[in-house]
Amino acid sequence: MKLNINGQEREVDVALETPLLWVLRDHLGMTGTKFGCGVGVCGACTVHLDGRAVRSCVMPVVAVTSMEIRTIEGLDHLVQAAWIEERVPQCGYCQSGQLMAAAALLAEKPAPTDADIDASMTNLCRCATYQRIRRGIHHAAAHLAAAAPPPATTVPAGVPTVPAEPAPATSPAAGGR
Amino acid sequence: MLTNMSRRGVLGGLSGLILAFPLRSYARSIAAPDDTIRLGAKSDSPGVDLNAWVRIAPDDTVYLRFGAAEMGQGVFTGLCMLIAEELEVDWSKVQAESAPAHKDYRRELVSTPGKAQLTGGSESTTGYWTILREAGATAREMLIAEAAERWGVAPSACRAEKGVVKNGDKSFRYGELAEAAGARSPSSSVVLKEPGQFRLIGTDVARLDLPPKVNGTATFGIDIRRPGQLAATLMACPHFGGTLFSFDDTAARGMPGVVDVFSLDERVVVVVAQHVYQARQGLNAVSILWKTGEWGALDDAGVRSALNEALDKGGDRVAQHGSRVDLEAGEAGVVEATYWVPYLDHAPIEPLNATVHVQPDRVDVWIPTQAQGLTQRSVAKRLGRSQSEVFVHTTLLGGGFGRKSFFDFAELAAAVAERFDVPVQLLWSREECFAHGFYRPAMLCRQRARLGADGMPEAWLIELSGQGPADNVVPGFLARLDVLEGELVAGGFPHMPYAVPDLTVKVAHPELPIPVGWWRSVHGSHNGFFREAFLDELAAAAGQEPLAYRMKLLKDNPRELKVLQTAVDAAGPLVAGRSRGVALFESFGSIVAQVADVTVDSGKLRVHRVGAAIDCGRAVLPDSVISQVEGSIGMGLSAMMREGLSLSQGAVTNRNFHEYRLLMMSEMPEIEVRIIESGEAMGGVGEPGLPPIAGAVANALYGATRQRLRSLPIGGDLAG
Ligand code: FES
Ligand code: FES
Repeated sequence: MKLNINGQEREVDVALETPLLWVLRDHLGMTGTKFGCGVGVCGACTVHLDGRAVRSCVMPVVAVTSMEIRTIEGLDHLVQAAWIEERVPQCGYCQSGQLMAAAALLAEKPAPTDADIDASMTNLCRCATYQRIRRGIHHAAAHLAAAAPPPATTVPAGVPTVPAEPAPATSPAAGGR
Repeated sequence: MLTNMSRRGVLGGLSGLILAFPLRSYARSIAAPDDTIRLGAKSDSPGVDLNAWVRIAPDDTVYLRFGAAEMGQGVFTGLCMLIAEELEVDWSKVQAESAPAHKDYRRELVSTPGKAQLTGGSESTTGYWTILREAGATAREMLIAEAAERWGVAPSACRAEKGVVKNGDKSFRYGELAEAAGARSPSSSVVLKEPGQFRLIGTDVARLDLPPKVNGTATFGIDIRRPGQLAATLMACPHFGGTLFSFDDTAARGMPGVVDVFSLDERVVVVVAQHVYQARQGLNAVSILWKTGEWGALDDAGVRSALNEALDKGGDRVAQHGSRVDLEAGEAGVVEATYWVPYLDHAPIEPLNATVHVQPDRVDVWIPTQAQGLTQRSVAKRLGRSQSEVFVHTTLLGGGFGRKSFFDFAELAAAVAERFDVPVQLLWSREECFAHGFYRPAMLCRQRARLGADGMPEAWLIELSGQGPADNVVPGFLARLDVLEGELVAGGFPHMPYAVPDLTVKVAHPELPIPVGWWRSVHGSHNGFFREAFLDELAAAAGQEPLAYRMKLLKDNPRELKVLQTAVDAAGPLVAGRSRGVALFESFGSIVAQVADVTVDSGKLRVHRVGAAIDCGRAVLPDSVISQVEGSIGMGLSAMMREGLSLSQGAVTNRNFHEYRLLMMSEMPEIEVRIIESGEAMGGVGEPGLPPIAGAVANALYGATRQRLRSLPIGGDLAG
């Protein structure tokens, strides 16, 4: 099956239902996208599909063959520089996902309010770098505003960047019987 | 892991001394470049080792090795700064490498005599403080000696500066000197800088680990990819004390990519496949029957009653100041309250994993571990090999918080990989991580205090009941030693800074099968809440304002007073309609105070702003001190508002992030942290920021609701 990842065509031979996350990490060796929960809750696996932030651990690869897939390896965005200036990452494990979510938010709303950030940035960070993520987004927004004209990327109105209350796609293994 | 019982004794007055140490030669074999983790400027040249920590390439790239694990605390950068400070190098030329597990890379234990290669107890910077500055200074002196000899001048006529040795207008770059300098004997004594001479230490140099953490190239354990590598995943008996009864792998074996299915240790089922997803699917297809053990009926109520019973039986007296009065319930003038916190999981976002390659002559382990030394030992033991055959490559850690100081995941990965001649990565599911942690113990705390005529506590009895975090690590009789219990379970009570004439601290032990361990700030994670919330109850009983009450109790402790005042300043003026709570806690050699401003709106708690101050003696990398305190406040708040493991049938029932919820962006308060560099002995920074927050918020909540919060997490509506 053919995939369009970071502007390149990639060929993979995998079971159709394989989540995109594992195709990226295992079959294509693109390990920047992380595994945290496997049920669509933590956001560590966030990638862009046609510009929208999506959790790749619950996205069967067969569903994305016609989409433009962007991963952290292919992200080239002011928000990354802002992350370094604000010294956002601690352990850094969640940050690929945070950056993808932040870049998608900024594409939709170039000057997000705190309330926008609260609503869109639902990725978990166990190191609790949230305050700096917020600052990093505002910082990047200021840079974006300074760098007129505003970015051409647009996302259809009303499309949420990430599900506000992601529902687990699979129930955890019950184990004890 | 053990805390700072004798920190001051160990670290007192070392700076500026001439340190003599035995000549030693560093075997190249152990200092061999390890490309698992290397960050910074790139160089094609391997360069020359000047000692175990320093290698310099002809193009002036300086490779510095760090023996601790980077899990977000910035230690990677902080430790390299210690070497670079004395080595006098250009920071932009520094490239950091993860050191292998080896005795040369151990640090001083701050809490007890001895050395270890272990990242915990907030001790990395203090534990390597002298070792690394010495290593940098020794290498610098070798470079100077080489240059001096070439010029035919005395070394004292030369000076080192930004990677260059100078004598008048003559100079040599380190890259030109390194090869010959590396062949020289290290000087047997070096003079270390006085703190006033530091150029790097105390500044916010560029953090070496940040660039790869924003472009996806940072290598965590889970990202290791070795040629021919197989993927494994596992399910272990979820019932504590239970075993594997039987499993049927017929369906799994027929699935694509599945290579093998087997059991280990009568409690674990493992599936090995070509790829992770195939292994996960394979495991789902195995039907497993578990046998519950003697604890098969244990649930939340059972835990609660075990703790209650132990408390009522009475615990060991771990501290006693003043007269031996045990305050009785209902005594006149006695204030009493009982507090409770649940079991917690560390929940680093990177799930447990290790990649192991077992070969006839060596075993390689790539692992996100906080305990390189223990990992090496346990893998060697499990495989019946000698430790010198086991090579531990420490990757970046996607969070640790104490969980990755245990080595269960290394041992199991070794046992799996032993069956294959290719490398195998064992990756746990999130559900398995939650089901098999080394949890922060649930803890019950009954306190009684008698107030004098002036309203100040004359006598204070603290009774704790819970499993000790060392119970799974050291033999029972050791875990029961007063010194261990006094710190690991009761820490923060026996030596509290508040002036209380009669103080009694007791610890009781319920018998429970639940695996427990160190969770960020260990004892502080519960005692910060217990002590500081109860102190507000005492202030209320005395009719006094809580901040002023604390200040009276601290009148002979200027350091604590200053921390408290600085936190109040950081909090700024209280916004109308909000209510404020204050707490103070000293742990891991540092003192932290926090001031939390909250509102309760239609029954929902909102923490708006936290002012914090930390006195850690000296800050090596100030911004990392600030971010560690911010993160600790967030993690403490997460625990307070949301977290708690639930048990049924002797097994954890909440096994993923929708059932065990963590703090989110929308709940994070605005935080302002101020650092106080008192110049006192250096303390830790990774953990001491956590303990006060629950107390501060609970105290603020009382102002808003007139209800005392004595049990965590905050239940029901308040948590929203
Ligand atoms: S791994 Fe996909 S949301 Fe957690
Ligand atoms: S930086 Fe560690 S989980 Fe976010």
